[in-house]
Amino acid sequence: MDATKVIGKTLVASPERAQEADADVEIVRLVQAGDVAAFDRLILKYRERVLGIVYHLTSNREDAADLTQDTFIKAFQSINRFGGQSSFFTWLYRIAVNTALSHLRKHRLRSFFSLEMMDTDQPVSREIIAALTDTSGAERDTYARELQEKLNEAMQKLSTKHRTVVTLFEIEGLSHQEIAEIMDSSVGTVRSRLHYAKQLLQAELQPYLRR
Amino acid sequence: MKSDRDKTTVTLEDLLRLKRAERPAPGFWPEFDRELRAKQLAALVVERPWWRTFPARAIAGVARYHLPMGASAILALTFLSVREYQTALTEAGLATPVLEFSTQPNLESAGGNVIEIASASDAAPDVRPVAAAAERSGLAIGEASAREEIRSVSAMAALIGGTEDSGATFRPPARSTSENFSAVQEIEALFGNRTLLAAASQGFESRVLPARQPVVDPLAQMKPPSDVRRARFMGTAFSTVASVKPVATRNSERLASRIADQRLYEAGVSRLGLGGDRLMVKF
Repeated sequence: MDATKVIGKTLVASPERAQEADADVEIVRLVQAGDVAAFDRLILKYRERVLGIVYHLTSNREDAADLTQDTFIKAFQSINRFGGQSSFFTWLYRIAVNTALSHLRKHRLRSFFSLEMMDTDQPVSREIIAALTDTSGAERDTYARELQEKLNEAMQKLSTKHRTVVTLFEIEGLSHQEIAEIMDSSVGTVRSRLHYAKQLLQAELQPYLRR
Repeated sequence: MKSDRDKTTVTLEDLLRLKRAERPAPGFWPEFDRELRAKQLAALVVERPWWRTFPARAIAGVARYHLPMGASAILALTFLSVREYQTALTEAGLATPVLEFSTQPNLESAGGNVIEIASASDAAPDVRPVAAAAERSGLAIGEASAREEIRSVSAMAALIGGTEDSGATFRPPARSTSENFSAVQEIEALFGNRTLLAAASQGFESRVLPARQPVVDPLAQMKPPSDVRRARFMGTAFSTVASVKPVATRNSERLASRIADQRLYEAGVSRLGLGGDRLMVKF
């Protein structure tokens, strides 16, 4: 699969996403009406993405699991206050980001615990890893693991605001507008932070960049 | 398009896209769902505020120690009961000598000579100047001795005058020992009888001893009219000298030493008076 197509699919707000948002609103209405079991459908739908956001912000898999659970608990407790002004996933992402940032403020110095595995079988990952190393098999997995640690270290050198912008834009594929809504800031601020963060990451990951 | 570029070109966006490929371990999600379910159920239960659960917790905590607490309560109750009982016995033991002492002086006369003694409540104001002087001079007299003195004066007044001031309250201590001795000496000098003071001193010792003697009827100790005058002045000395405790006596002596002799003389004279065939002694 072409990498650019993947990027385009994640960055551009598609009609499918609008349909998803409508479906989310329907489920939220059910939960607000007292159907607690309906909230499980929202959990199943968004748990991986929420875990991804929290994990990329914290770079700690144990904290990420706990914070993801806390995010869904907070969403469940305050779902009656969700009025539908924004999409549900934007509202849920805001809760996740605020929960993760609050956790980072309380626990500044934490060691990194990356997720157990990197899915090197994905086409994008396979292409990138293959471009970075000529090895194969176990050596390639070891190299991917090392690269994963280096990425996390570089991310943790960013400030929380810059890390959030990079995570939401580059990894989760949200638009500037959506990031601005989640972070409660302007689009220009998001662009500025993103530019500055990428400069820092470029400097940190220079040995792994091939031009 | 990356496919159109060199395969070896790796950009920052490519590296960040690698992070998207990170996945948790295979057994992660079942455990995640189980923990999330537990948290969700806990969030559904509204936690009661601590002030509602505190009484139940306090009772549960105390229930573990009910046996030692009960034993302690019984011991405390027993101790208080014994203490109250001993206090009552002590008060009863103190009251008896006062009554015995009060009957000693034979102050009533069968003849026409009658000693007019005011009741305790009437006698109390006479001692106020001395007590005030004691307070001014910084010589505090014990409260217990003052109460005992009032009690003895009241009992004596009840026996002699037939009236008892049951509502007698705490007053400052009665006249000082030195003042009373001075008054007696002046009376002795006036009447030329030097044996009064010695007799009073002997009687004082016998009365201070806490001998538990039965109460004697005052009428049985009546003396002939010839001894009325002597007994009258002895009673005056007894009522004040014997009722003052040693500590109060020392304080009163120090106080009296500071009072001018002229004042003592005037005070002693002012308490004695003659009216017809009667001798007036004020307390």
